[in-house]
Amino acid sequence: MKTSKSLLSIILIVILVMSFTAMALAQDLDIIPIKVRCRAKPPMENWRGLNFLVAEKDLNADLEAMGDPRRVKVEVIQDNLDWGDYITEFVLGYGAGESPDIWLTGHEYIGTQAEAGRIIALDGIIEEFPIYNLVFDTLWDCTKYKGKIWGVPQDAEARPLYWNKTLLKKLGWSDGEIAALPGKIEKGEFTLYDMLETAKQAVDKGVVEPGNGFWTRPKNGPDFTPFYYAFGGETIDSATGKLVFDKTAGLKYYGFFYDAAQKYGSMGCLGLDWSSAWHPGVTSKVLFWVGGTWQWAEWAEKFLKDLGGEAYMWENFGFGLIPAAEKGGKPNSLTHPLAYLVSSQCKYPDLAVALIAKVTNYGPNTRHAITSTHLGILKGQTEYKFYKQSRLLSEALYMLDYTTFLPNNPYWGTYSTITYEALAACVSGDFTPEKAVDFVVEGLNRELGDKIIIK
Amino acid sequence: MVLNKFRLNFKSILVYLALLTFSMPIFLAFLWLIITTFSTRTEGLESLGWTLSNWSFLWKSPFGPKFQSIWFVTLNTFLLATVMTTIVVFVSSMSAYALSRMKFAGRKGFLSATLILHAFPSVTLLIPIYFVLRWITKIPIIGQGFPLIGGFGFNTIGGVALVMVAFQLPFGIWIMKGFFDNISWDMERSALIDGASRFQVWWKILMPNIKPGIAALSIFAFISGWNAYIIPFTFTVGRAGKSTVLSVYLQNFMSESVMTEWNMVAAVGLFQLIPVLIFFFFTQEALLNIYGGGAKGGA
Repeated sequence: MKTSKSLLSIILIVILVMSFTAMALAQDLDIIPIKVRCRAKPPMENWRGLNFLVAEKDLNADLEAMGDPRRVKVEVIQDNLDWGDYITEFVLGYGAGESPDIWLTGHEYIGTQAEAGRIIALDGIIEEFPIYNLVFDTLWDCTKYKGKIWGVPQDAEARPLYWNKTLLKKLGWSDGEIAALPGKIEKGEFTLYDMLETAKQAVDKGVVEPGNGFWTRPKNGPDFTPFYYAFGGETIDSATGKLVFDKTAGLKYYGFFYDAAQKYGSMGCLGLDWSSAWHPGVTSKVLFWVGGTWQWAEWAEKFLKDLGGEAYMWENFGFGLIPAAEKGGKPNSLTHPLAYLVSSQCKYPDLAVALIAKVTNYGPNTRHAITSTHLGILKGQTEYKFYKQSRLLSEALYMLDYTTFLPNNPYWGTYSTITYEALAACVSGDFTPEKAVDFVVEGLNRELGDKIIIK
Repeated sequence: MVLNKFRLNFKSILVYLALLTFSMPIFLAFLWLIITTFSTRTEGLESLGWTLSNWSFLWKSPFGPKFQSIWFVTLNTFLLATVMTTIVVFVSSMSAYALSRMKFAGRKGFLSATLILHAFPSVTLLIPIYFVLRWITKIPIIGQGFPLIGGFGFNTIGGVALVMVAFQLPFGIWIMKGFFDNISWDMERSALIDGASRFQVWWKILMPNIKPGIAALSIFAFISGWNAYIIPFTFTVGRAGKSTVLSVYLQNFMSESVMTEWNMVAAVGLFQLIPVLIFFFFTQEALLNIYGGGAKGGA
């Protein structure tokens, strides 16, 4: 009896000592929850968020080695919410004090969020992480607003002009001519109107149905801006930071889309549903279309998997830059980098930036680049063993030399909506190009007042 | 006599035929739904290949390893519907009792006001509700500190339930008031003469007499909470976040820019439907009572 009592006492003492030790150890460590919110199309873009889970262990190991008592605990929230809802969610969450610490979004939203005070400028923090020096300077420019850096570029892409090789062959093009097309575009020998002429021939000969000669995306978005740039348009005044609309370029831009729809059997794409009509359309019955490099992975994984995926696409699709407007002109493309922003509600921005630094490295970024066919963001990434293995990324990389960007301005949303409404009206035949320009000038002046420069 | 019988039978046959004809599209739709969930593709009601892969979301996330599991989301949905149902039934029956049995200033105005509130579509009230939730979020513990339901603030199951309750209450109060109105006053008076308090009368005498009403309101409230979309979508973060519910989670399968796998959408939809069907199957009699009133012989 006495022995069992002693045994019980010893067990109790051991339990107490162990509990106190555990508590003491636990009190030494400060667990910091870091919430990361990403928009990603599963499964192709899952690494946008999942990379942080790998980074968590890495950063905690660093903190432990330094003797820092803090440890991060990453929570990733990732889905494919539509952009509008995604932005609204951040704004509502911020208002309730529930914003994520790290928020991934398109760089063009930086202006609005910075003005509202919802994100912090990262100058003074990022300098402590030399890995950021590897990011292309042009991409940093995208995350600058009013002279400060507000985000870390996450990925980049090109928006090529794609074509269907099989349909071009039906039109009488030889393999050699098709193979030479990217080069001709790059030299400015094949222009936007040459493309429309080819599209019209395809329609006239019954190779494609009327409307299917050339397609853009079906809804408003960044893909239209490089065409405006091609005709000499500009969107931002570097001296004042104000948005710009160039009437001369605008007239040519709207003239091109008016002609495409009314004279060249193209642009039967506006208003189509993405998944049920647009993607199936461009992957089977459209001659030329503008898309993004990331869509290459979507087509291979989702739309053409049964036909052979990427192998089928290399066989049947070609791509090049968006042609110049005039012979000898410069072709272009558009890059729309997403960036990791840090919320002003984040209590430990140094840890958030340290986590972002961990995912801004060759390994994590290449994982994302390859699975989602986005272009790399780091200097020397093309030489990275695993990056080189992606044929698309290697073959599309030269497009970054010709790339253009959207402006970082809080009023870009208004500008983009008004200019797109005019474009849609040209395509439907409701507006002539002249009327479209008048509509845009009137709309921009009304909505933006002195925040817009009309040239 | 024979002719009469024939006429009756003929009439019945006609009624059944009409019912069958009008119900057929619904039956066919359900049949198609079930076939689709087990098929790779369908042509009408014909399966072009049987598969279980559309139901794979039950054992692995279709969007990646770190996505919330369907079971976690189902638990959230169940919590939302249950919390909402409990509050709606409790508050509706108490306020309906007061409105049915007591005379007080503003009674009629209150009844009219609840009816007007019921007429408001929830979408028109999203912004003011957001400000209320935002305010609740900042209250310690109540805002964000509850286990399971998270609390009653923004991005919590309790917060969404609270908003849903507000939208459901006018309907609940009016329905329950109808049931209380149908109960004899004599029964209540006897209890009061015997020394029961108002609360005791409500709880011990009247509530057992309006069980069909409670059941009917519970079903309506539960279904409403189970299928809620716009409120949880607006006031929670992420379609795969900690407070997501089935209707919002379903949207992950339907995106603006990625191909929709309709067969899996159908399977998740059917999965979402199963608890409601079971609930309905066992309680349909009580549900029909909502049109018939409570205890018989009431004043």
